[in-house]
Amino acid sequence: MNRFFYYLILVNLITNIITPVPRILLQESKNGAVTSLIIAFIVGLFLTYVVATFFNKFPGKGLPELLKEYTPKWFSYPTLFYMSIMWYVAGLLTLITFTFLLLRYLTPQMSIYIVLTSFLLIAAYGVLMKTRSVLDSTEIILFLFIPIIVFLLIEAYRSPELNWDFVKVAMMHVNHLPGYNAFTASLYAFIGVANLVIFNRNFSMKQKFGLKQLMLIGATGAFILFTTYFIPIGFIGFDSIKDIIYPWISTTDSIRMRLGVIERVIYLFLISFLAIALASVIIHWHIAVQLFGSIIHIKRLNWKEKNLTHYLFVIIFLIVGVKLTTYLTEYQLIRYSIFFFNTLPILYALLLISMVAVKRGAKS
Amino acid sequence: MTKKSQGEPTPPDLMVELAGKLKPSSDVQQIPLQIEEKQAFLLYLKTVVDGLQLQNIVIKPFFELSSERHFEAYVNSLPNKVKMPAKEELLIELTKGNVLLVIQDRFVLLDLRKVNSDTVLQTTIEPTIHGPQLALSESLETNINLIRQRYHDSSLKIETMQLSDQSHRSIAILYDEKVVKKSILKAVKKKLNQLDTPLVQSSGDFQLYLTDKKFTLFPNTIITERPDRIIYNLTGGKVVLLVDGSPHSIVLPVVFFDFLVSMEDVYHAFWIAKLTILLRYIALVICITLPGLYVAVTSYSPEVFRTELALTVAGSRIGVPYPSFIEVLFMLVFIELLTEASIRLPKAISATATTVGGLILGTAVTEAALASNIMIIVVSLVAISTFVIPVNEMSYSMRISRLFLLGYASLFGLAGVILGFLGIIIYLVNRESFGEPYLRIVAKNREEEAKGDNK
Repeated sequence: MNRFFYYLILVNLITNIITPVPRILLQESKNGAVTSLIIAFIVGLFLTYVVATFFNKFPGKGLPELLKEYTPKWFSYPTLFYMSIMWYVAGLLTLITFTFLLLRYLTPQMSIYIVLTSFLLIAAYGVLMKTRSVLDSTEIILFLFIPIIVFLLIEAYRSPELNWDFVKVAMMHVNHLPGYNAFTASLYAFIGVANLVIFNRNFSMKQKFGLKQLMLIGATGAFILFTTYFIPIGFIGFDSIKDIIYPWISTTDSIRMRLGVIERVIYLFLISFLAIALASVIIHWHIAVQLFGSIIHIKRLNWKEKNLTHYLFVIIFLIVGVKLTTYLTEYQLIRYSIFFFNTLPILYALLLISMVAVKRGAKS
Repeated sequence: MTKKSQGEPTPPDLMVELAGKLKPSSDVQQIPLQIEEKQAFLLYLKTVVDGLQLQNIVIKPFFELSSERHFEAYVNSLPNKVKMPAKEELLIELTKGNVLLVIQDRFVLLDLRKVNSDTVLQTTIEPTIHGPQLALSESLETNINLIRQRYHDSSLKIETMQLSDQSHRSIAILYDEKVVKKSILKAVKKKLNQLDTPLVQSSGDFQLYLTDKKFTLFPNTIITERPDRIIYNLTGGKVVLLVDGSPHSIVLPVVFFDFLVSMEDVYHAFWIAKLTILLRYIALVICITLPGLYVAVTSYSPEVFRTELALTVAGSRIGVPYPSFIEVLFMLVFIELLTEASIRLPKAISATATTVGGLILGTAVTEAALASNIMIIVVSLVAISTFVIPVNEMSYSMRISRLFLLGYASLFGLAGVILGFLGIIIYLVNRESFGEPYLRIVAKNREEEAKGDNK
């Protein structure tokens, strides 16, 4: 596959650390989180394979075009509408979590509106860019910040505070039945491949997607999922991990760089994940805007040869985003994100159904 | 038309008409040449024509050759002969330094122009240690000569055209036929034909007319004075424009990374070149983020730094009577003034200005506690880093984008610096220069992996 495909998956895998996913998983640590992780890993990899090979058959085409061409309107429109909302919420989740993080750990004295404005101004511009520019920006952001993240992970793994005994204890809980919440939450990490619904438009060449590529994704995914779940346990301890709201922040705050200009690793963590979060929000909302745009096109909104429908969507996105961020509390955020994660299988099911429908339509 | 009677010969009507249009300029010369049966007329502007050449090439042979027919054959074989333009453009050709010659009712245009600006200049804007030391001249033909002499390949094509503005300046489009991207060449030519500007003076303003957007911060083309950079870009498939009377060439399209290439990189060993390039990127990051970082770290999150450093920074600010962003803004304006002053001043005085400004004022400002010591370090570091950017225009753009970043940092703190920085990056990524993406990581098979949007 081409490199942008990997970027899309990678961004999602990394963002997973700053969404409520680790917290949900760690809450379930005594109720089969490990088995859920394993099952989600297998299912996620399988879905990645299926979705990637499907879009590989239609190079240069996104899902909206395919659905409109091969399926009836009563099916394609509601599907696309549901999907666009899901992608919007996915972006929103990252946005809200990260805003809370910034408020709590970086600039606690600031108003929530100011933190949101700083983020949304840039994100809004990014969302409205050309699809190709979104891909290129993602590449540059990853190129700049992956080294920092890798460095952070190395620091974490070789830190003397990391107690492998706790990790082993957590692993012993493999004999529980998987829980639905933990399963869907860890499935979120593998949703990156679904971004192809729009980005496949720009992938006009037929790609090779075989065992080697799948293994690469599998290895990275397994490593990141393992890190997401076990590293906080290793630092904080197995018994008390349930009570911590931001396990990853507390984890990184226990790492110290003795010789660095910046002593507390948490700031490097915040900065680099801020960049990745921005990329993730831009990707998700860009898809949401494009999906909305494929079903709603207001002709009257023309201004200087430019159609402003997409701008309208983004304004609505921003307003809803600001309203929700200021309305939600941290407790509610976790509850609603569990709810959102729980509906992810529906999204996947819809994606699979529409893929089957498109395939049938294309055959006849 | 001409009457071969005695006395003064009458020139052809067209010539009289043209001369009439050029009057009352004092340098119009309309000279009849006549001896025995032979007769010819010359029309030219004395100030732009090389008199000695005219004498040697046209006037002398006229009197030496035996008949009008011989003279005409001689003139037709001259290398100076130019293609006869339409009647309307004849006047422009005359003002350029061409000589209109009439023999036996036949009109011939000869290029005998005198150009006083064809000395090749020293490189001043983009100096290198190991590279060629001479830049371009201010004459188009000399410049083309300079480039041809360094690039002996028949695939180098040079098309000249005349702008339709008031100065009727000649410009040349240079490209290597084998490597140039056809779509870009087409776009450039289309743009040139559509150009509707009152006056073009130099490459600098010409370059601005070529971009569609009026309000741009980042340059869309590179202006360079170095022939080696021109050749380097030509072999890279770019289009080069030369404007008559300007010692700079325009290279397009550009990508962001072009602005951080100094020709010196080509002349150094691998690791030296790579390290210098790395140094330049570090300078770029320092130059745009440091003022913002200073504000964010002193005013918003001093706890980011290790305790000792945070204390040093805070201790240095003791006694500074205003918030850090005013301090930074004040010092940045000051350093910008200093830079601007040293550019405009005559070279002899500019050294004094920098000494007074940099050394004396810098010390005085800290002693008066108007700015912290660390602020002075930050500002000097920023100024030095700005000068490391090899292409002047990009360093101007960066000077402005760091103000944007400063504003973002003052409003939003440390997260603002990062977000603003990313904002600049994605803005650059989304930009285009003549249809080519402005900023993206260079890699093989790029175009195949993700094509542009087909909108």
